[in-house]
Amino acid sequence: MKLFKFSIGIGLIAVLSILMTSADHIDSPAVTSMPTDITDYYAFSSPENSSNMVFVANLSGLLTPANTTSAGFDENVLIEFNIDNDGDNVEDLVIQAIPRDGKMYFFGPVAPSQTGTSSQVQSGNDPISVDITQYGESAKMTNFGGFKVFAGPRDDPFFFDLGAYMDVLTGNAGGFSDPGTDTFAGTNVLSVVIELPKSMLGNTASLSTWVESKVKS
Amino acid sequence: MKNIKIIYSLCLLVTLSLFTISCSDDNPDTGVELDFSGTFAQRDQMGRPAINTVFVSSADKDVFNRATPSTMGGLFSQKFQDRLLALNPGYTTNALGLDAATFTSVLATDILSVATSGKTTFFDGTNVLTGRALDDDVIDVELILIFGGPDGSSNPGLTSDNVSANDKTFSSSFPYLASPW
Amino acid sequence: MKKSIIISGLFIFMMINNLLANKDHLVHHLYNPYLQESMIQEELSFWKSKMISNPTQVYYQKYAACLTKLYGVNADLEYLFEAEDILDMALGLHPPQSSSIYRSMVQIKIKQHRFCEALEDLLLAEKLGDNLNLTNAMFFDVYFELGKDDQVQYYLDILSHENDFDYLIRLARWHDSEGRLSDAILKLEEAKLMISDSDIGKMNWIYSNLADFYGHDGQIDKAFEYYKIALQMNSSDWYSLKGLAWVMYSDNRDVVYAIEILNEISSRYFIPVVENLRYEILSNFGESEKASMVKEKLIAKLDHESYFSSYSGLLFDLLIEDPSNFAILNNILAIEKFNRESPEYYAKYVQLLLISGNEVQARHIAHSEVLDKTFEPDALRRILPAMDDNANVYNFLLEQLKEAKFELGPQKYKIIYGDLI
Repeated sequence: MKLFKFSIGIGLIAVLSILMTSADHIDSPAVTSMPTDITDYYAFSSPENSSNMVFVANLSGLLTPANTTSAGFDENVLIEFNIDNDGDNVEDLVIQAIPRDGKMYFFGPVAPSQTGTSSQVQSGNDPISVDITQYGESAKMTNFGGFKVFAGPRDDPFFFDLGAYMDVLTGNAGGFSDPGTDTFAGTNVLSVVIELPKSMLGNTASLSTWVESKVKS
Repeated sequence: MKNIKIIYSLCLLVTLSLFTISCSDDNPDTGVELDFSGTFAQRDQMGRPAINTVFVSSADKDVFNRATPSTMGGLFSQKFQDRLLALNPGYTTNALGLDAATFTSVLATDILSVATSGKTTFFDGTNVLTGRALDDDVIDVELILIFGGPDGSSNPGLTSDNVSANDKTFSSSFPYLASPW
Repeated sequence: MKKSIIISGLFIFMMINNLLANKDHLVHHLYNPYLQESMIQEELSFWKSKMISNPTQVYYQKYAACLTKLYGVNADLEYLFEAEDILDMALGLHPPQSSSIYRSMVQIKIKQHRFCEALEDLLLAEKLGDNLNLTNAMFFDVYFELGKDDQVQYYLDILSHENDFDYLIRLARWHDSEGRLSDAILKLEEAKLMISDSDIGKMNWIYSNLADFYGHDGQIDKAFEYYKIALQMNSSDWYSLKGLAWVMYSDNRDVVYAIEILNEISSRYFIPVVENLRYEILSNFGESEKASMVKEKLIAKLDHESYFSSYSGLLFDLLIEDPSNFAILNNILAIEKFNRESPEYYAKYVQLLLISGNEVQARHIAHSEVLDKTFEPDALRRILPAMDDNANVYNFLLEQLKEAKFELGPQKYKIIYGDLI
C-alpha cells in the first residue's frame, strides 16, 4: 500500500496515493449466469419400485452440448429439498445436497435445525455421497440401502414453447403456433436426483414439497 | 403432532445408524473431514412448474424467489389474481371448478403436492396434483386451467403450446432423466 | 494455415509448461489454448441455428452472449458490435420480461467504455426489477468508471448486504481507488476463497487481477506467480500473457522473453493493447524502425470512429506524438468526454491544451479537474508539464510518480524523469 500525506501550499493537505486502477484493468466478470437458478422440480413415485419416491431438481438451464463440459455445481450453493407433512407449508424434513471436490453429498431426510430462508448443513448426520457424473460418462449413482443419488448433466426434461408463450404474453400473438417449438430441445441442465423409501418421508398420505437453492453467506 | 415428529426423527436416526453399521461401503462418508459450515441464504425456490414465469411480475421475482411457502399466500394471492384476470379477462371458473380467488390462492403458495400412494401426476384427467412426473405436459395443464374455462374448451388457441413431449425418451431406471446431448 | 496454428498452440503450451516447471502440482489444469475458442464457436453455431429457425428473445440473448465471450478471447470489437445488433433485434421482438437482456447490453457497452449509454440500459434493468443485486453490481461498475463517488458509495453499501464475491471484488476496486492497495488485495484474496473450484473462468479472472494488484504493490514475484496460475486456468488468456510480458519488461527482467510472449499472442490475435506494448518496448530499446511499423499498423487498425470509445487512451498516446494530429485528437477526446467525463479525460485535455500552446487554460483545468481528483499515475504524468509554475506541486508529483515506476514502465518513466535519473 502506498498512502501519502503531503501538504501542498498553505493549509492544503492532500492525501495522495499512486496506483493504477481501471486504466489497464479488466472489467468485472459477467454477472449473467447464476449457479443458483432452479429450472425445474419433479416429485414422483419411482417407476422401479412403488414404495420409493423420486425427487429431481434441475439447475443451470440452457446448456449447449459444447458448454456442458465446463458447467459445474457450485460448492457455495446448497440445494435443499423441503418436505412438509402437516400442511402448514413449513418444512418438517429436509434433504440437503452440496458438492465438494467432485462429489455431491446428501444429508437427511432430517428435521432441520432451522426452518425458512436460512439454513445450516445438517452435517451432524453422516452423508451419502456420489461422484458427480462428468459430461460424456455414463450415469454414476450410489445406492445405499435403497437410497439412490445422482448428480450431473442430463438432457433438460422440460418441454415448452417459451417463445410462443412470450409472444402471447406480450400481445404479439393471439395464440400458440401449431406445431409448437420446444425451446429447450437439444439443451442440457445440471440435475440432482434422489430416490428413497417413502417410509423415510413422514408416513403421511400426502406431502408438500419444494426445492430451494441457498448460497453460503 | 410435535411428539410424533420427535419420535419420527429419533426413528430416522436409528435407521441411519443401523445403515452405518450394516454397510461398510464407501457410504455414508465418515472418514473425510469436509467443511460444510456456514449459513446458507435462499436465492431461488420452486414448487410447481412455470408459476414464476406465468404469474410473477419482473419486479416481484426477487421477493418471490426468496420467500418461504408459508408467507407466499399473503404476499402474492391478490397479485396472482390480478395477473390471472389480466391474462384471461373472461375467467369465471376452471376445469377444477375453482373461481379466480380460490385458484390463485392455491397457486400463490408455490408447493408441489405429492401423494405417497397411487399415481403421481400433475394431472392425467383423473388424478389432480398428486405429484409431477417427467413426462407430464404441465404447461398444457396450466394453460387449460387459466384459459380453458369451466370445461377446458374455451380459448382453444391458448390452451396448448402444441409441444406435448420431451425431445429425448426418459429412462425407466434411475436416474430416469435422459443422458445429456 | 491450420498446421501453423497447431504448431504455435503447441509452442505456447510448452512455453507455459516451461514457465511452470517448478510448480508441477498445478500443471495438470492446463489445456489446449484453442479449446476454449472452438467451444464458444460450437456454442455460437448451436444458438445461431436455433435463432434462425425460431426467432425468440432467449436464443438471441444466448447468441449475443457467445459473441461477447469471443470478444473476451480475441479482443475483436466486431464481435461486440454484432452482439449489440443482435440484442437490439431481440428487444425489437417484444418488451423483455427479464432484466438480463439489458445487463447483457450494459456489459457490451462497458467493454467499449460507453459508460453513459450503459447507464441508460441499467436504468431500464432496474425498472424491470428482477435480479436487482446483479443490476446494482453493474451500477457500481458504471458509476465507478464515471467517477461518481457518491453513487459508488451508495451501491457499495447496498451490495455489502450480500457480502459475496460480487461485493468483495468491487470493494477491492474501491479500496484500490482510495489508495488502500493492501486492503484491496486482502478483499480480492477473500473473494478468491469464495470461488468454486469448478469455476475456472472466475479463477482465471481473479488470479490475473490479483497479479495486477501485486505488481502495483511492488510484489513482482507474486505478480509473476499469479499470472502463471491464471494461465494454467486458461492458457489462451492474452491478458495474463501480456501481464507476464509487462513484468519482464517493466521490471527489466528479460525483454527478449517479453517480446517472445507478445509474438505468441500476435500469432493468434491482433490485440491493440498488446501491439501497443510491443511498440513501447521496441521504442524503448531504440528499435525505432520496427517500432514505427508497429505503430502504423496499429493506427491503421484503430483509425475508425467505432473504435475510438474503446481505445481512446491508447490512440491518444500514439497520435499525440505528432502535433499535426490535433483535429483527430480533439475528436477522440470529444468521444471520451461523452462516454466518461472523468479526471482521466481532463488529464488528456490538459495535454492537448499544452500542445496547442494554451498553457494558462491547461494549468487551470489541471488544478480544477485533475489534481486531488484522481491518484492515477497515468493521469498525473499527463498534467505534470502544466504544473511547472508551482515548484511545490511539481516536485511533489515528481516524487510521487517515482513510486509508480512499475506501473508506468521504463518508457514513460524516462519521459517524466529524463535527465533526472
